[in-house]
Amino acid sequence: CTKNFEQINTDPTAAPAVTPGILLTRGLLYASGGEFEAWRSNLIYCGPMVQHLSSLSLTYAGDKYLYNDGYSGAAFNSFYPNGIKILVTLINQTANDPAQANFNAMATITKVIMLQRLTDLHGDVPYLAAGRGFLDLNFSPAYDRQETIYNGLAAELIAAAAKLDAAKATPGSADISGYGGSPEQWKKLAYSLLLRIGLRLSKKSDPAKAKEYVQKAVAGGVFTRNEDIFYMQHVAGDYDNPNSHVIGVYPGSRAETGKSNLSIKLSKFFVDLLKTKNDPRLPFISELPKPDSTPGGSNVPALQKGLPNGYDNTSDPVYGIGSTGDADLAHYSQPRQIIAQPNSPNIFLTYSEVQLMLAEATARGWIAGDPVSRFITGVKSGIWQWSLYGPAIVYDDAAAQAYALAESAAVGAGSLNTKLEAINTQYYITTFLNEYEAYANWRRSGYPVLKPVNYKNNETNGQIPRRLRYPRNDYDVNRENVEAANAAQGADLFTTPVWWDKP
Amino acid sequence: QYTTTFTGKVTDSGGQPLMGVNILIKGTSKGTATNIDGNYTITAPPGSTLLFRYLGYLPQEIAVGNEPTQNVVLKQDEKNLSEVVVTALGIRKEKKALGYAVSEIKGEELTQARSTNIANTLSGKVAGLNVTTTATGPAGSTRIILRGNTSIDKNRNNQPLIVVDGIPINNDNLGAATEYGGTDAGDGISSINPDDIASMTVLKGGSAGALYGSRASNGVILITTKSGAKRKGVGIEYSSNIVIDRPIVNSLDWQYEYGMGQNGLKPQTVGEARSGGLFSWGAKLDGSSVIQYDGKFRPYSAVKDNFKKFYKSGYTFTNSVAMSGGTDKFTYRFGATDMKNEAMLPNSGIRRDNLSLNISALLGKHLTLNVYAKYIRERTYNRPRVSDSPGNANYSLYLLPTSLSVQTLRESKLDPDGNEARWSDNQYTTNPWFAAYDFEQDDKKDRYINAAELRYDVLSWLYVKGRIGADMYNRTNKAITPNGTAYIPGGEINDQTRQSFYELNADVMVGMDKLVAKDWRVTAFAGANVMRSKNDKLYLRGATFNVPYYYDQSNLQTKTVLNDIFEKKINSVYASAEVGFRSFLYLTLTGRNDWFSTLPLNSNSIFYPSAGLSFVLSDVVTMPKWINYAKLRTSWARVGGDTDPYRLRLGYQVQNPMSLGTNTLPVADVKKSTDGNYIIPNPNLRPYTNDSYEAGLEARFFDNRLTVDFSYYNRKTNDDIVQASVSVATGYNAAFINVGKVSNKGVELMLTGTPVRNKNFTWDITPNFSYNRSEVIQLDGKLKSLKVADVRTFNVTIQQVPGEPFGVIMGYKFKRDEQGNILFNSAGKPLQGENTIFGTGVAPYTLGVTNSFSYKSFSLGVLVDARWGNKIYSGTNDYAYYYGLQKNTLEGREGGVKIKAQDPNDPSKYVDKTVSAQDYYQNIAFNIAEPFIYDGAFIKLRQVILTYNLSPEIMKKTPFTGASLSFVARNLWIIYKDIPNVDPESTYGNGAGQGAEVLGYPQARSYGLNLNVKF
Repeated sequence: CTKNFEQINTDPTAAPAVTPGILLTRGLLYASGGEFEAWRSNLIYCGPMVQHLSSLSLTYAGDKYLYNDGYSGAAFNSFYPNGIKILVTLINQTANDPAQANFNAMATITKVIMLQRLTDLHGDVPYLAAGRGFLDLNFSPAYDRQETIYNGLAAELIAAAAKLDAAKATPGSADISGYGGSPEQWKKLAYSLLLRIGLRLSKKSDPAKAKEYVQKAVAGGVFTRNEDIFYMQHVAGDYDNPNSHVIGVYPGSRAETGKSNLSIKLSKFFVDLLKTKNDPRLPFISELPKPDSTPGGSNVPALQKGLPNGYDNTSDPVYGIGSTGDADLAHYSQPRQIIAQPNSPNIFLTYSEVQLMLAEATARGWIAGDPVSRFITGVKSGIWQWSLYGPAIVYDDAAAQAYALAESAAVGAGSLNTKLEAINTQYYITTFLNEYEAYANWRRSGYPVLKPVNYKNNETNGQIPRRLRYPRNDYDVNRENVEAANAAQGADLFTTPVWWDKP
Repeated sequence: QYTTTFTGKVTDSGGQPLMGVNILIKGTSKGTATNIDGNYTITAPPGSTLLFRYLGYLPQEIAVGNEPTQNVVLKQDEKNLSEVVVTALGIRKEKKALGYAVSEIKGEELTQARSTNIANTLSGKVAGLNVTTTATGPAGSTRIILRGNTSIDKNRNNQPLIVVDGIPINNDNLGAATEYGGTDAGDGISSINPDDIASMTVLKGGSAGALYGSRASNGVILITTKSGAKRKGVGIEYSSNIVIDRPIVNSLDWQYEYGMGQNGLKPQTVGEARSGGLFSWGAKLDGSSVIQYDGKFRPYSAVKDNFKKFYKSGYTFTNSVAMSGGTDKFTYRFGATDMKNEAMLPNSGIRRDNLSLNISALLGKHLTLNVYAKYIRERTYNRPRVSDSPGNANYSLYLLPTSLSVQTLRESKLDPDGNEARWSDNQYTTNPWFAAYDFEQDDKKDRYINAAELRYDVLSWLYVKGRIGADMYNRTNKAITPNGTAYIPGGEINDQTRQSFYELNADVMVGMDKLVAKDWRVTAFAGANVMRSKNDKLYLRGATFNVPYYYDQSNLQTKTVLNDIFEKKINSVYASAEVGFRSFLYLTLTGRNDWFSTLPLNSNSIFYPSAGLSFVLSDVVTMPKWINYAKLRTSWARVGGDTDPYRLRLGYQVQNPMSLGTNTLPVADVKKSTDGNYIIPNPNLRPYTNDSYEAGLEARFFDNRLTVDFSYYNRKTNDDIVQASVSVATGYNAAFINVGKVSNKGVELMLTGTPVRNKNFTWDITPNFSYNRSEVIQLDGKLKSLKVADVRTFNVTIQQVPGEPFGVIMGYKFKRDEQGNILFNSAGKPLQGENTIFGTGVAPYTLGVTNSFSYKSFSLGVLVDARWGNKIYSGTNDYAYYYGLQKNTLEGREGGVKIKAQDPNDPSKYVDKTVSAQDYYQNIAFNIAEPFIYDGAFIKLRQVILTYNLSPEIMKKTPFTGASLSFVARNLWIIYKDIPNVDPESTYGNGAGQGAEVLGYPQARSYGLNLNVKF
């Protein structure tokens, strides 16, 4: 009675198995992300909270510390079922096949990037069970403590680095990052990520673990040159840069931005910081609208004007933008169009960050060396990296050298805090657009010192949020585990610090 | 022994031949049956007694002598009038033999007060049958539920199997709106033409439908279409019908004191008029001249007639003609119906044409062939978008600011470039005229429902039957978001679909009907069925037309093409035996085994037994004279079922190759379900079961002037297969799991009374009442609740919660102190209290009362329909809070709302401040559900039919044999409701998530005229 049943019940529109390269490409695409979470998590929350960006629109909840569940939980809701699921599936598929060790390791490293972003945003999150719903038939994933996650991520990076082997099959062009499937490059990436993981723990009262990871990273071999930078090169069409899709003006991008003024602006704090320092990057990244409000106006540094955070576009005497004396949105700077193109790179980890982290580790005495030279290399590389955005941005080494040298004065002399402030201020500048990282490092380092806003009805009583809230839908479907996480970590509020944010 | 051959014809008192009359030589087991013409031949010794028996007729005995021709006229059994019913697999049975409740609806009840979807006309007519009308327009779907919802899964529709002339037909919802908007693409039952229906039998319980196995877990509705009869010439019947629709809630009871604007201010510039959007938080309406989004100045005064200005009268014209007739060996009926509907929403409607042909032929002596053919052509244009805003005309119309006329939006629909004029900063609120006239949503369906049945009478008591039938349709759909739409200037093809569907059923059956011994009669049959179905859907979506206003897929900049194929097979064997003792005790046993292609090979088979007992008390015990009939019945059955195809294994979707610089790379992900979710497949699924028990009483009193039919039932579903939402951290959005127990217990009472009956005047009253208590008994240990629906405001969810009824509405209440005062945070925002269960969205109580009066040639039927015990969440009123339209938002407009309440962090302190009305009510709107939960109860004057039948005397002077004219009205009056501004029957989905309405298409109040002539 059941002849042919198996055949009838096989979906002719689904492939039963696929090769690892196809999955790796998909995983990397997802890691670079879609407009959904790039807009909500990166540009609506992280960027404005850290005062890189600002907006009058109430949509930009991070500008005013307002709570919006759909935005606060966007990365959580997108990373797990997309990138993490597909990478975990690939890791599982290749786990017992030594010939595919490189695929396995690269998938693991990419997964670490995504999970670190998630745990940095929320604190405790599902980690051990992440993306394993089908593999374990476990439908109620537990939330792991952030400490467990950080140790786990470090162990995964070390194991992945050991697995990478240039003698084995590599994904080649299926690796759509700038690495082109090179195991050596991925190994440097693994250890550079380990350096970041280590440094993230610097605030703990017992930074032994931090020190251990930093030293292991250095011993393993981190980035050594500008070109080691890890990014995805996007292409116009199917594969737009997700951030650009929101802030860029080109056919097919977010329609609302194409019409007139961008609703997202550069923050007054950020523009003023770059202006004060005479930072050579300001003309790279900032421009005014044209007088008719369309994008593409002047990028002359002296004319740039950042929009203060925490205002709306009403005529409210306190919170309305009019109360600053200039209610005309066309007078405020916005991200320059040439860095918001569909084919702009999406950057995850730079040589600049690595050198600045090494400078900090040196200043703290965890590793040997000269913090000043590392700082200078880091700052210069941070200026160089904008040349990746196209030939219109020209890297001037002499100018960069002069600027870096001037900024390095604080690293060469002064208290540890002075050094840390100088280093992490540069880290803050160099991570513009990678707002996940800028927000995490700001919480860890406390630099630069930001003045919070106090918009009406905000969630934090006028403090910059220390984390984002868990998505409401996880309460609907996984309540016991979310509540266990809240019991362990503290109430699910913007003001609750994550584990590494607590001494 | 010497014998003679007797022949003759058996007719009813009207002279119509009766086919299949059982003729037995008394005292022997020898017998025969009449053929299609009512003729019989039997060889018997002279002096024998012949016994003629036929369901629904009084038995008759005839002593035969030498006269070889014996014509017999059988009299209808007045006591058991129309007590023959069609049961599962099309078997006609005496109602008194049944161990379960059935209800029958005559065809004419469906053709008088018409609805574009026949299912709507069932509302209020049968106890235990609950019809939910959706607020999705005339071509939208309905939800028919018999005796409660058996599955808590959000995807299973819980609706009964619809069988037309022995062939199961597809009644899937072809597309529904979600919390993010969309259209309802209609369902399957709406294809059925009421003019073709002879009768509908509702098999409510498990035992009634157990022979259909897995298909019957939600009950069965059997539809028998009209067939022809022998007559002289061709019989022609013509009917014409017009129905006019108006919205039943025809105006909005908003506040009309404050106008468009924000923060208590009128717009001063075009920019402010646009940023005001839908907000009615402006200044007091004073009639002054105020700028609007198009730069023109208009009076700042209340506009109360937007509804009336936008919705037009809907029209439905139905013309139907049928021809029928036949000879001794051949009968036929051919029917053609054209229905043309213009909806109340401008530029929207449906046209449906039905052709049907039924043929019955006697081939030779023992072989009968029946053929049923139907063709249905449906053309729907511009189905209304409902629920969320983009493209939903109803959305903006309901929420227009109190001082903005929909006429303004008509005048200034387009900007100078020909695009939708930006009338609001929220470009997702579409101008209703633009939504109605510029958006496109057209679909076409051609459907064929065909069956052929061959029956061979081997012996007078033994037959073999074969049947093959198919329901097939082809459907195309094209939905366009036009160029110039504010939120997508480049335009989109939302969906262009080519879909073909078939379900094929083949049955063979052998059956017997025999008096096996004195007093003992056995009716039995056994058979096998093969069911195979396939749904193949090829569709594309894409964005941005290169050449504006040219809406062909070749003109898209980006597009995705997808193919969904769902195929399944069920093989079954079944058997049934009914043993009757005399004519008062009947035992029926049935069994069926199904094998499913959709479940793992080691757990894909399930056996369904059923047993029923019927005891006609009045035939055994001498009853008082006023009791004419009394019967007790009871039955038990197990049904159950499988799941949809392809849920056992993980499969990958290889996606469009992505062009990545110099490379074009293929990418692949786990295949998403059609609803866009990643769902964890489950290789351990097993069939679910549904056990039901019922008991009942049927009785007739006072010369049959009062009849009572009472049922109690208890049904329980175990191992329900559910698509459970799971944490996205699993990597997926949902999983298929065997979880869940659901129970439905209830009572049904149907009464028929005739308080007055005399020569000229009759008054019949027919109330039916039902109560269904549903309970979700248990979920999987780790699942605390199962979400079945979200609402766009995200203020409530519909959940399945153990210990609660099916589909409860959950949302946050206000947080209050011990005295009940609302608590606020220091910013003056009300605090959320408990996430509370407000109640079920499905009405447990239903009551329908029909009063029929006839006086001479006039008859009047009045149906009052009531439902209660449920709750409804009103997204419309929630939005109206947010936008400042709701009357409750008036308090505090001048000077703000004063808040004084205990500080939630420090009980010794008070939060004491004034919050602007706009902030105050907007803080409530999408944060607290409590103010927007209403009692879902309603009482409606559902249907009024006034008919004038032309008297036979007049008829004689015409070529007609009969004619009638009726005035009909549906949904005439909402006698009672709790929810303001909307009809309580306004849900936008026909799925499990009942109990939420958001800005749907208004329900219609209809008036119509019917003309019916026969000649």
